[in-house]
Amino acid sequence: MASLSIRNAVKRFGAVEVIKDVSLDLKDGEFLVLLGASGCGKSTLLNMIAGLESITEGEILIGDRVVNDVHPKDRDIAMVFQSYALYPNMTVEKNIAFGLEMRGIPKEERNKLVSEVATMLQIDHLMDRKPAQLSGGQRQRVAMGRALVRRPEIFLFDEPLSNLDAKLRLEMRTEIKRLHKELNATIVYVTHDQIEAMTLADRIAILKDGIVQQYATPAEIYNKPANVFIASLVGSPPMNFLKSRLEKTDDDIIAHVPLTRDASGPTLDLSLKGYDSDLSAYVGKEAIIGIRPENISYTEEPVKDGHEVVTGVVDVVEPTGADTLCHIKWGINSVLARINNTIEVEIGDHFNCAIDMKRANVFDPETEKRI
Amino acid sequence: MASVAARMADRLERWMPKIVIAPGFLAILLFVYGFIIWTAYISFSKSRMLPNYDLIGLRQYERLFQMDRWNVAFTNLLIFGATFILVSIIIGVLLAILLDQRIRIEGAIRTIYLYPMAISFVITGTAWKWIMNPSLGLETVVRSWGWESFSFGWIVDQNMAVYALVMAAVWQSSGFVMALFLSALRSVDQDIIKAASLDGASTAKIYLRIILPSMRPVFMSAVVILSHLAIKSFDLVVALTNGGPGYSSTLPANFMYEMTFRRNEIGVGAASAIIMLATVVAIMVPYLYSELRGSKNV
Amino acid sequence: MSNLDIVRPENSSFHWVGRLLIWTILLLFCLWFLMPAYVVISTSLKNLEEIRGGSLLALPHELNFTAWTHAWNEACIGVQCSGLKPYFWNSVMMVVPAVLFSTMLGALTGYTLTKWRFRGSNIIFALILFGCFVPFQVVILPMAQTLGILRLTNTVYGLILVHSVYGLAFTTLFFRNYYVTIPDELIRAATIDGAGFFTIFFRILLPISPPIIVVAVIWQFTQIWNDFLFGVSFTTGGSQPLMVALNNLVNTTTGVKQYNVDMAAALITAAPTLLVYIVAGRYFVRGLTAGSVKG
Repeated sequence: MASLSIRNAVKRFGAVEVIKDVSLDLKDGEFLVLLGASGCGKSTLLNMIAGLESITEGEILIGDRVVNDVHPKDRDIAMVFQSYALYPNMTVEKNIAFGLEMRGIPKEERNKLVSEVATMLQIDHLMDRKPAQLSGGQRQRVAMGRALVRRPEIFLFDEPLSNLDAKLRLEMRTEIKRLHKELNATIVYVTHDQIEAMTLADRIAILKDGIVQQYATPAEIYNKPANVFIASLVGSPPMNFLKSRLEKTDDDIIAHVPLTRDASGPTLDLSLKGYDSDLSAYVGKEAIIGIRPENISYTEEPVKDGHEVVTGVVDVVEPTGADTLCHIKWGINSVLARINNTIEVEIGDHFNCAIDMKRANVFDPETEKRI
Repeated sequence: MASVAARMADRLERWMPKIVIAPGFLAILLFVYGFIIWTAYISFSKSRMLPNYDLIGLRQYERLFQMDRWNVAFTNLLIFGATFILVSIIIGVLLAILLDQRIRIEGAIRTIYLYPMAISFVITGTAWKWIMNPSLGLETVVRSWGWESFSFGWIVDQNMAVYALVMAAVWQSSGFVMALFLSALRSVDQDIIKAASLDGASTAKIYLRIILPSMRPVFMSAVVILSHLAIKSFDLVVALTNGGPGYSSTLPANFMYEMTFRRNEIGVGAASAIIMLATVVAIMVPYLYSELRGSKNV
Repeated sequence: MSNLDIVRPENSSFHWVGRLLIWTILLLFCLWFLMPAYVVISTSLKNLEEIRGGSLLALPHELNFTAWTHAWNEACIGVQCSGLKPYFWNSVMMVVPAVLFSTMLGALTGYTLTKWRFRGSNIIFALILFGCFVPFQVVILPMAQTLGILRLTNTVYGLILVHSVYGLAFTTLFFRNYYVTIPDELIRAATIDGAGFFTIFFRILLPISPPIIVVAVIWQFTQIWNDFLFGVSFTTGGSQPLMVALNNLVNTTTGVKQYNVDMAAALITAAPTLLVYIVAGRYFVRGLTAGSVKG
C-alpha cells in the first residue's frame, strides 16, 4: 500500500478548466472519498490518478514516485467502475485473472490468487459463469475481485454502488468498509452520495466546479462545514439557514432573526455564546445562522439549559419511522426539525423548540464561507 | 537498456491507433478523394480518347449540356427518381403499417417482401425484361384472359421505358422501405399511443396524426437512400432496357459509361460524373451533417 | 409491436372488414413480389416450344433441367460457349478475399475510431463515411487508369483491390456503430489491467463482435457478388465476374433466343445471395438498416 499526493493538479480540455489547482494528501491505508455532484470534476480527478486522463499541470505521486508520465498499467493501481466493465466474453474466473495474465504471472500462482479472492468475496461458486449470467450484486463482487486480486498500491472506485438497488447498496457498503479494514488498503472512492461518503471515508474531499471546497474528516465536514454549499450538501434533511443580524451584549453575541418582513419588526434572538471563532468583526452586520434539523428538539419547559427555546407553528408533518420531520414556522422563517417519533404533533400545533446553539454554524452572507 | 526498450514500446503503443488507421484511411483518401480530384481535373481538360492535361475551362460541360443524350438522361433521372422514391415510400409505409397490425405470419410475409433486396439489379432487370416481353410476356397472358386492349409493352415504348425502370426498381426496393418503417414503428413510445387512444383517437387517426409525423427522420433517411440509389442506377438500365428504345431510357450513370468506355469522350464522361457527384453531395451533405450533429451528444 | 388492440373493439363487424382488407392487401403484394420469381423458375424449367406456345404464367409440363445444365456448361457468352461455370468461379475468387480484407480492415478501423480517438479522428470518420455515398462513376475512370499502371486490368486481383477499398467505407461504418455502443469503461478497465491496443482488440472486442461480423460479411458478400459496374468497367472476356457474364449471356444475339436458358442463368447467378438471405435474413436486414439509417 502507498500514500497518494496530488500537487496543484490542473486539467484542461481545450479552453475548459475541469480541475483547478487541486492539492490533496492521503496517507498509506487511508480511505479518501471524492464527493460532489455530477460534472464537478471528481471522476476526471480519479481518471487522472489512474492515468486514464493526462495531467495538464501539477503532479501526482503514488508513494514517492511522480506518476504523471507513467502508463496506467505501470502505476500499480486497480479500479472498480460504475458499470463494472466486466469483459463480457470471459468467465468470472478469467475476468479476475486477466490482469494477472497480462502481467505475466504464471498460471499456477494466478489460480491460487484468484481462488483466494473468490473465497474472500464469496463468489467461488460463480467462477464458470459469464457476466451476463450474474445479478447486479454478483457483478459488483466480481469487479471488486478483479481489483483485489492484483494487490495494488491504491484502489480506485468510481461510483461502484450507484447501479445497485437500495438494499444491496447498504450491504456492499459494509463489505467495502470491512475490506478496507482487513486489507488496510489505500482507497480513493468517487461518489455523489453524501451518506456513502460519510460512512466510508477517513477523509472527504468535496469538489465543486473543479475546486476542492473542503478536505477534512467526515466529522469535521458535518460539524464545521466550510461553506453554505457543503452545509446543504452533507446531512439529510439539509441544514436550516436563517438570515440574521449580529449584535453584541455584555458577555454575549446575539443573532437577531427577523420574524416579519419589516426590518424593524420583532426578532427571534439566538445566543451565540461560546462559538468557536471570533465573531466581533460581524457585529452589527448580517450573518447566516445554520442549524441542523436534529439540533431542534421538542421541550415542554419554557426554558432548557444550554438551549434557546422558541415557539413556532407546525406547518407540515412527515413521519419517517424512527423520526418525524416537522416543518415549523417561526414568523416568516420556515425550519425543519427532526424529532422523536414518540412526540405527537399535528398541523397547527404550537410547538416549543429547544435549539442547541452550541452546534450552530455562522456563515458570511457575501462569501457564504463559515466564520 | 530495458527501460529504453520499454519507452520505445510505450511510444509505439501511443502511435498504434494512427498506424492502424493509416492504410485504410490513405486508401480511401487516394481512391476516393484523390480520384474525385483527378476526374474533376479531366472534366476541365481537353481529354477525348486519352487523358490530356491541357485545361480548357468549362468547355466539356458546355458540350455535355448541348448533347441531347445527356439532357434526356438527366430528365429521365428526375422522372425516374421522383416516381421511384414516391411510389416506393407509399408502398413501403403502407406495408409497414399493415404488417404492424399483429399479423400472425408476419415473419414469412416480411421475408417475401424483402427478398428482392438480396438480388442484383442485373437479375431484376433480366426477370422483368422477360415479364414485359411484348410477344410472350404478361401482355399476352392478360389479353388471353379476355382484356384484349391491355398493353404492357413499356420497354419498347419510348415514352414508357422509364416507367418500366421505375416498376422494376420499386419491386426491388419497396420491401426495404417497409423494413425501415417497420423497425421505426416498433420503437414508437407505447405510452404516447395509449395516451392518444384514451383521448379518443381512432387507429387511423393515431397513425396519421401522431405516429407518422413523429417519423420525419425515417422519411428523410428513406428519401436520401432511395435518391442515392436512383442516381447510381446503372445495371438495372443495362439489363432491362439497355437505355432504349434509342436512348430514351438512359440515365446519367449509363451516359457516363457510354461516353467514357465506348465513345472515347473521356472529358465529357468526367464532366457528367462530376455533375452526378454534385447532385449526390447536394442531397447527402446536409443529411450527414444533421445526422452526425445529432449523434455527437451521445 | 404497436399495441393498438386497446382501441379496437374486437368482434365487431367493422373489425372483421378491416382485417379482411388488411389481409387482402398484404397477400396481393405477396403475389406481386413472388410473381417474377415464379415466372423465372417456371420458364427455366420449360422447353422453348412450351414457352412460345403456352402462357407465361402456366406451370411447366415436366421438371426439365436441361436449360440449367446448358446455362452452366454450354451457353454462349459473347463468342465463347463455355457456360457460366468459369465466371461463377471468377466471382468466388473475387468475393472471398475482398470480403475478408474489407471486413478485417473495417473492424480495426472502426475499433480505432471509437475506442482510441485522437485529434482529427472525427474528421477521418466523416471522410470515410462519405465514401459510402460517392457515386462510383466519379472514380471508375481514374481507377481504370490506375489498374492499368499496376497491370491489374482484367484480373481478379484488380477487382479484389477495388472492392476491398470501396467496401471499407461500409464495414468501417458497421463496426464503428457497433463499437460505439460498447462502454469505454471496458477499454479503461483493460488498460489498467495491462492490456494494449491489439490485446484489447483481439481478447475483448473481437470475441463479442460475431453479430456485427456476420452483418458486415453478408453485406459485403451481397454487394460484391451483385456488383456490375466495376466488373464491366475493369474486365473483359474470360476474366469477367458472373454478373457481367449473365448480362452478356442474356444479350447474346447469335442464334435462337433461349429464354429458358436466360432464366436458368439468372437463377444460378442469384442463388448464392438468395441462399445467404434465406439462411441469415435477420443479419441481412440488420445490415440494410444499420448501414443506411445511422451515421
